[in-house]
Amino acid sequence: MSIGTVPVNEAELIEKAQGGDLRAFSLLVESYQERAVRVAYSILGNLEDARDEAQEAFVRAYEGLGRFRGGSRFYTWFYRILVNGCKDALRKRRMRGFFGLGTGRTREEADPLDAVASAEPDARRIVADRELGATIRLEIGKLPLRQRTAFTLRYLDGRSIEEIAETMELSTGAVKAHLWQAAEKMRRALGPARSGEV
Amino acid sequence: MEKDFERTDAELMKRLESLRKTPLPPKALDGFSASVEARIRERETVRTRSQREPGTVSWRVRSWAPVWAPAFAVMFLASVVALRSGWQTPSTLNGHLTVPADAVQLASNTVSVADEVAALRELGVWTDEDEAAIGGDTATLEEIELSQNAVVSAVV
Repeated sequence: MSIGTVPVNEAELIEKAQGGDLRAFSLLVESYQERAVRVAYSILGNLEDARDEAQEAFVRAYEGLGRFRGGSRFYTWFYRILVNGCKDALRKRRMRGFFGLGTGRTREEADPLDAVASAEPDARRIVADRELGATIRLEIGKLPLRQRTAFTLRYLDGRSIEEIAETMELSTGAVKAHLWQAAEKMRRALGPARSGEV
Repeated sequence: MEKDFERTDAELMKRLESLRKTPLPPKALDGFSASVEARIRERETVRTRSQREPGTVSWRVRSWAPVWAPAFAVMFLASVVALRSGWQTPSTLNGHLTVPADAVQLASNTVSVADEVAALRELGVWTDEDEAAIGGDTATLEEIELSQNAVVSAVV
């Protein structure tokens, strides 16, 4: 693990954070914050909610760090907290929607990733990526929660099947089943791969 | 089936690789870790304060509990219906002042003062001195006797 150019020993940071070293924990936050926000965004579909939920997950992780024994990787343990927090946030949002109270926050129409100036010099490739991103995010929003979570962790965060199973507290077979169902829907929505895509 | 899954999985992993590598806009992460630190410190301060002063109540802003929404909705609708239908308190219903049934019952329980005095006199408890002390005879007392009508007028 590295933050910027400085290599950091994760186990050492965790040990320090467990001893109450908030600065050490902040370094852990900095190393996972982007992935955490990305995962939360894919599940919640709103960047502001995603930031809020990811921050809340880090706070809960810090408070529960004493219970982390190192049996699993930190990110697997942390992702479980994050995913459960996102599930709760979605439930609350649905309840509010049901009673017509509204949250003021909905799935964003414009993908915030569109604003990113890509390092890719090929303009056609940039457009293709944006289109792909927009379609994917739209389709993710239609998936049931478990399929959405599994799909996000696998294809947008690059986690292994085993890590996803640990995070979601499911068997690897169940994860594969969720991924298969999600992938089939996604393939239908995306259509065949174009030449601009891989 | 397993092979199908692996093929689809590999295909999607490749196809979405560019999305995985796209960084989030910097503003999405501006002050992120500082904000996490601030939240942690804030909660620690609240916890420490409540531990130091065990008798004190620490107030936390609780998120809106959706379970209360239906109860509030019913209360709100009930008050709107009551206000719109021109609902009045029972005592002024139809423009007439009504008297509670308990007051009428109490008023009807009163006995004649003269009968009371006569009974006391038979027992030898009521003497002429007592008669003189109140400065009149029992006929005068009858005038101030509480009757059902008198009580009702007083209540009204």
